[in-house]
Amino acid sequence: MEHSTSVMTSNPVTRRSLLRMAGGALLAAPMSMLTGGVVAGSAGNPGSAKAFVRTQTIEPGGTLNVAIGTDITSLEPQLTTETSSGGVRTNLYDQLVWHFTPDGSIIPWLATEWEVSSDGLTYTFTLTDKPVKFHDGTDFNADAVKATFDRLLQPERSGAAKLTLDMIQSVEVLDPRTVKFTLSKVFAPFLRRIADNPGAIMSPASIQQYGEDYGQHPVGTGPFRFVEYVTGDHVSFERNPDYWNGTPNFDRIEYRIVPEDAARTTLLETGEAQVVDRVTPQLADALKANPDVRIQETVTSRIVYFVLNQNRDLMKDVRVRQAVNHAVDRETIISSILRGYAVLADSPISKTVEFYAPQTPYAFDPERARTLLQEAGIAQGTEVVIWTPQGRYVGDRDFATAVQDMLKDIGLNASLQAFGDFPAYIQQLDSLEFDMAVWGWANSNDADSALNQTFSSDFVKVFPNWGSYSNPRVDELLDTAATELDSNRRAELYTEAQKILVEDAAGLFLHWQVNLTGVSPKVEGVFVHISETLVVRDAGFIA
Amino acid sequence: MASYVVQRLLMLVPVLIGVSLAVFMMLHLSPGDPARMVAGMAATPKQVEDVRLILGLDEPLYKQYLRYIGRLVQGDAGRSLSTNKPVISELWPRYVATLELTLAAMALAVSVGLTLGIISAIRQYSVIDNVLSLLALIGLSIPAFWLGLMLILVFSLKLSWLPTAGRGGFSHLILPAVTLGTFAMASVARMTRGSMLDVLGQEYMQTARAKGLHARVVLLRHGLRNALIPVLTVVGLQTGQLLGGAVLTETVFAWSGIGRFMVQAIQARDFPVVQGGVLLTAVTFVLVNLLVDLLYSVVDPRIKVS
Repeated sequence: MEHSTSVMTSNPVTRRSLLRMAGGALLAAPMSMLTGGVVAGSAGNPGSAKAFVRTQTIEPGGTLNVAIGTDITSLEPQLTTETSSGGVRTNLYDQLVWHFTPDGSIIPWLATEWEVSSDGLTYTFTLTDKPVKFHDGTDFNADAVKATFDRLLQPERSGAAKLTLDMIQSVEVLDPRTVKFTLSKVFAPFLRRIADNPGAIMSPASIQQYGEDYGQHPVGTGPFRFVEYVTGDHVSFERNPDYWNGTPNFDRIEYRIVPEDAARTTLLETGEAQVVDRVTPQLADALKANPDVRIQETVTSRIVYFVLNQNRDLMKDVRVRQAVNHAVDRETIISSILRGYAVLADSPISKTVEFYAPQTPYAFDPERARTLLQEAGIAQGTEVVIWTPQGRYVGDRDFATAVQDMLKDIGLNASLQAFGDFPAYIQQLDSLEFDMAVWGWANSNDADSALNQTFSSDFVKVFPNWGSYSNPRVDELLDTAATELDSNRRAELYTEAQKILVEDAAGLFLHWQVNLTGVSPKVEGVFVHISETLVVRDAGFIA
Repeated sequence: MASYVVQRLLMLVPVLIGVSLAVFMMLHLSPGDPARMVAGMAATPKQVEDVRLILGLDEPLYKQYLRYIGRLVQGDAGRSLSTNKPVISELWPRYVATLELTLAAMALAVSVGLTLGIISAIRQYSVIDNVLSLLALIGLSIPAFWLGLMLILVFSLKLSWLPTAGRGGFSHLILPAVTLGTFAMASVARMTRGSMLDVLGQEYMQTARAKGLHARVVLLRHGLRNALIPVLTVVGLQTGQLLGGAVLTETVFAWSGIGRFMVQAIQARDFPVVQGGVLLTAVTFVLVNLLVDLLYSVVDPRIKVS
């Protein structure tokens, strides 16, 4: 017998809660955007939650042209998790719950309420009573949910998408509007996972018809329908007039793939595009003078840090790890190399992620660093091997070079090696022949994913805990938190874990990456989700 | 002639076996794990191993190679590891895009390059010859990505005459074709000038003029035709190279061609795509060379194919 301990129903979404939701994350938006707004959609009706709050009058219609820097891999949701395709797919699909909101909060969506069993192993979702249809004309219902996840969990399926949801054991249809998920292990961030792209609901009829070629004929319940994908060039969508959750604004959305940074921002300047993603800090500064361009800054969940390798003697001593933390002037790195487009990390978890708890960062204090090295018995001129990828994270090689110099200032003889090819870099890290290595981690936007693989003993010597930080207390905290369903208790556990990781100098935490998006001032409602996913489906042209 | 073509086409078989083996070995021996790239950055080492099993990447290399070749001869180049689409349907549209761009660039290079080369040759050491030689030198040394960005700056951003990026109608083709064609144009011009100068000094040219033939006939039929052989060689080599992909131009102009795609595939360790793409490029090279060889005999009937 199952006993429901927690019943979460969707509260009627009020304008105030939505404003709160939006206010937290529209970092670059002028405050005027958040005042005098009108809530679109039928507020107060469960299941008709809107992910975005309007503050301007929108003129429906028009074509939104978006230029993205990375080729999309696939329009089928059960393959990759890279955010370029993920952002494009948000137009096509809906999930049971939704987290592509400006502040990343999870809201009811195709499911209006859900119940978690007391053992945390089953989730029972009640689906919306609104008539929802797939783009192929078939009905959305519990069978579609089951068909979607049955497809995902096929043993022969590989790919990153499946791995984010492999704790699902089975999916059962209780009635056309009720569906039950059974998990193989208690996993507290489960809702966050199904709210993400891999949880997109697919049409059973089209699964049947297209099989592995679903990506070429993508069908969802989303606000826009697939028109065409010209390989490597552009993807087009048109409005889904029958959308269940309010009428979408744009007639069409066109994504063009433009890999060259300068060419991409030029499209914004010529008016050929209204939205461009991944603007570089240099180009962003140049564009600031242009009144026809607005640069939106979003702090993402990506933490950029140095893995400190305790498999080699030098970093085994906590005093040495603290010394290198004191030796690095993060503020200067952020202001000069990253031109201010990064936020100093005072925790291994980004401040945009749930259960983030601010810690006291190591002050820039070379004197203190030298003392600590002396205490640890480290001779002047001791060699430190630093590795960095090149072109993977914003300014990676440049800030690694700066760190190399800063370490020389405290008497360490630091050498730097840069790797232009990322897959080779990952493999190189497995050799563990470094003392410090640049790494960036942005996974699934929950505290468990943020900390577990990077710092738990389960991953000592392997990806991505190459540094082999291992602390039984941290292990215990992370294990307990991952299976603890009470939010307050989880917050306490993660707070303590963050505190220990900073005190132990488990890594040299530099900054959280800021994502820069160029947007025409004629468009409102474009935002970048903390997962670095560009979301345009709720946007519109200002009247 | 027909048997010569067949013979040359049969040569493709050993070439393809050699190329496929070389690419396969290079991919598998170079660092970087395709299973990790497929599984994603969030995957645990255990999950990566599971993916490796599913993809068959744990098998001995010779088995993997034989399986690949076995499918290839049946026309199946496999599916892309990152997009899960058949490799052929990934490569073909991009190949066509590259073909379109290359043909446009080469048409420009040949028409303009030939004309300028002839003018330079008949006006040797004149001001115009010197100016054209300087331009050719600039054309040969200018980096494609810089030229591309400058053209965008002037013609798209400042003048708003032409679109900035992507494929579309004729207007989309102009800037990338100019960018890509500049180097070839300069080579063709220089080669034509040198080759024409050689020919112009020949005795048969004097004979032609002495016969009282019109200057244009002398220049084009007697002069240019004989000067074309080395030019043809340059054009053939350039075309073959460009069809292998012009990564920089394709990147600057967001031209979804095969060069840019191959670079992406290598970065993602998408082995089936890289293998397919290299094979396609090898076939192209062989075919272009064959075409050039056949054209030699058309231009100069003394050259017989056999």
